Parts: sequence; structure tokens; C-alpha cells
Amino acid sequence: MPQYSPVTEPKEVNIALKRQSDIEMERLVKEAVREMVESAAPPSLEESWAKFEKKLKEQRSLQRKSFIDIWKIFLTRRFMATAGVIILLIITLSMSFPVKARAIGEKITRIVGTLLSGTQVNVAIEYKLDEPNGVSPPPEDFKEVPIQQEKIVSLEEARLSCPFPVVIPQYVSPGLELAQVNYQEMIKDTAKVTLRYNGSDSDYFQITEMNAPDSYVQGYGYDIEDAVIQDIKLGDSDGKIIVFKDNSIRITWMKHGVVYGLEGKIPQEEAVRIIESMNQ
Amino acid sequence: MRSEIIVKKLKSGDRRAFRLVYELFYKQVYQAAFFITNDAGLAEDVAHEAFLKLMDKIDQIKDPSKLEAWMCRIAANKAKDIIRHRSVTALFAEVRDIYLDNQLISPETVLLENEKKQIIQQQIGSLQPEHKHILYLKYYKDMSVHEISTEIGIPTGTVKSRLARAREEFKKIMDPEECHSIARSQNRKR
Repeated sequence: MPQYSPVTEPKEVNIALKRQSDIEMERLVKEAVREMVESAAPPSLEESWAKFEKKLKEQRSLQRKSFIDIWKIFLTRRFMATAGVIILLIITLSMSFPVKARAIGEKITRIVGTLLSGTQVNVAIEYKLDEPNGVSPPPEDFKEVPIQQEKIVSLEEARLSCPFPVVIPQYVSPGLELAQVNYQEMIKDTAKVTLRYNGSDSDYFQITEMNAPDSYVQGYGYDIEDAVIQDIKLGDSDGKIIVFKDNSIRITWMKHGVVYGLEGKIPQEEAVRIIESMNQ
Repeated sequence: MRSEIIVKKLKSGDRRAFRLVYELFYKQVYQAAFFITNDAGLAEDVAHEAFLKLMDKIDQIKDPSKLEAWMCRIAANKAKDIIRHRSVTALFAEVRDIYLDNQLISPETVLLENEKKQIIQQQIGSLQPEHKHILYLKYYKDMSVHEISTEIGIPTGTVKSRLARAREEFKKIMDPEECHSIARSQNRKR
């Protein structure tokens, strides 16, 4: 009976077989993956495109909504309490063309408080042409216009540069005095002057004066939980006064085509007295 | 139309160019997503997400010739994210069960090449999305370990170890003894 001795494979053969096996495995895996990927048949292009367009519309709608939400957050009461008054200032394009300017008697001025939502209120000052038939022309597109930087000037310099007469209060509360005058050229024939009065303690106020040759809209957003708004009669002008919880105030009024604002930390009676002295 | 022109038109907001890109790459993007999600509905959602992202991020595309690769990458990453944020444990468990049942087919049949591929595919189906992504890039996109590392943003060592682990798993299941031991262990559990 023949004797069979166990056959021992050389090491090289084992390595070659393993390498062959690895190559074979790689090939199999590659084919398996390729088959898996390419066997996935997507839904019809048109059907999928229709769904995609729908999603696209939804996304755009959400983006618009989130933009509005950001503005709502921006106008929340806490922000208002911290930041004071947010001024939304819109000057219509027509201001760029002062040739259209008419006498003040043909214009109307409106100061309107509007409840936006919850406790959010907007106070808008509108100043525009009084159309005889009551119908306003269609609004023109807004255009961004460059404005000059605000600069510190002397009162005399402000008076010389300003296209309208700068009004100085004849009465100022004791202890307060004019500390700084700022001048800013807005657009053609339009400028803003700021008169800052400081006291020895935390009392202060500042007056802003800006002419509006043609039409003008200005809005102040605030929260009625943090502030109280009242109508106020200032000589022959109507105005709005906003009194905040921290006792700071803001008063806005218009006269002779100039928008005036007084804001600061002084008693309301003092503020009214200062404004009345400007009308003398 | 050349890819440079397509991307230029996309950047200028040309809607027809966007539709063209959709027609050109929808299938590839869908397939990349399907490979990872193994779900037709999810894959379509992922493809849509990738195209929505293209609209937002078109300015980030520096090399127009790589638009398709960019789209597939977005789809694969999105697919991984979606799977990761879903409760997919059950899904993977289910796939694994199917795979174990299939091990009961005869060892003779297992030797057939098609059967081998089928087993590999079942094994791939049971992998985590991160591992599937690497297999997709390695075996479908023919990318090197270094390229995969750059693409996914993980060290080359991690790519190598994941590939090695996957190969080991494939080898194990190709070994009939291993198949029998898995089947026996499964039967014991039942």
C-alpha cells in the first residue's frame, strides 16, 4: 500500500494564492458596488422636476418668512428697551429733485401711530404733496443715494452751510449748555443739524433738525410696555411725544418743511418749554 | 454645452441652465444617495436637497469641470446626515436578518460568483452610512485613499482601517465555515 506523505505548500504559493484571492475579492466588491449604484432607477425626470420646483417655491416662501421674522425679532420689546428707538428713515426719491418742491401750504403733514402686533407700535411722520383730487401719484422706485459723513462744526459753520435756518432754543434748562454741533449733508439741498446739550449730571438732550424739500416719511418703532406715546401740541404744530420707562423722552414735530426731533433725559415739561422757545 | 458655460449661466441665475444641470446629473446624484440610504423616497429627497444647495452655493464652485463630483459629494453627505438623524437601528437590524437567512443557502451555491456578489451586496447594505460612503468613493468613483481622506475630511489611516475592516467582513462571509458558524449561532438564538 503506497504511503502518502502530507504535501506542504511552499510559502510563496500561499502568498500568491492569498494575493490572487485579494484581487478576486477586490474585483467582486467593485462589481457589487457598481451594480448596486447603477441598478437604482430614479423616478421619472419630469415627475421629479415637478416635485423639486414645488420644494423650491416652498423654500423661497420660507426664506421670505424668515426675513420677516428677523425683522419682528429686531423689533422685539427687549431690543427696544435696550436700544431705545429704532429709526426707520425713508426719504423718497423725489427729494433728489428739489425742482419739484412746492410751497409748504400745498403740503400735508401726518403723524400716525400704528399698532403693528402685540405691543409693537410704529409712529410714522409723513410729509408729502397734497394732491387736489386726493389721489397720490404712484410711488417711484427707491434708489440708494450717497450721503456725506456727519461732522462736528461750530454753530456758525452750521448756520452758514445749512440750506434752512437753524433754530436755536431760546430757553435751556439751568445747568445744560450747548456742547456740540454736528452737521451732515444728506442729499442735494438737504441737511441735518444736531445740537447736543449736556448737563453736569446725567441730564442731556439733543435737537435734530432736517429739511425735507419735497416728501418725507419717517418711522419710529417701539414697545408700548416700555414707553408711552402721547399727542402734543407745539404752537401751531402737532407732534408726538414718546416717554420711556427710564424717563428718557423723544418728541417729533414738523414745521415749515423741517422735521425736528428732541430726545434726551430731561423732564417732559422742560422739553416742551425748550421746544416752545424754538417757536418764538 | 461646456461645464464652464453652464456654471457661468448658473451663477447669473439662468433657470434653463439649472434645468439642464438637473437633467444631466439627477440620475447620478440620486444613485449616490440611494447607495447610502437604500430608500427610494429618501434618495429623491436627498437629490432635491443637493440641487437646492447648488442654487445657494453656486458661487463656491471654483472648478466647473467638477460640478458632477460636487453634486454627488453633497448628496452623499446629505444622505449620511439624514440616515444619522433617523432612527435606523431597526432598518439595519432588518437587513442583517435577511443576510443571515441567506446564509442558509447551500455552500455549493455560495461558490457561484453571482451569489458571492449578492452576499457582498447584502453585507454592504448592512453597513453604517459612513462606511458605505467610503466604499462608494473607493469602488465606484475609483478614488485613492488619499483622495477619499480629503473628500470626507478624515485621516487616511481611518479610511484605510475602514476599508480593511470591510474587506475582512467580506472575506469572512465568503468563507463557508464562517457562514455555517453564523447560521448555527443564529439558529441557537432562535
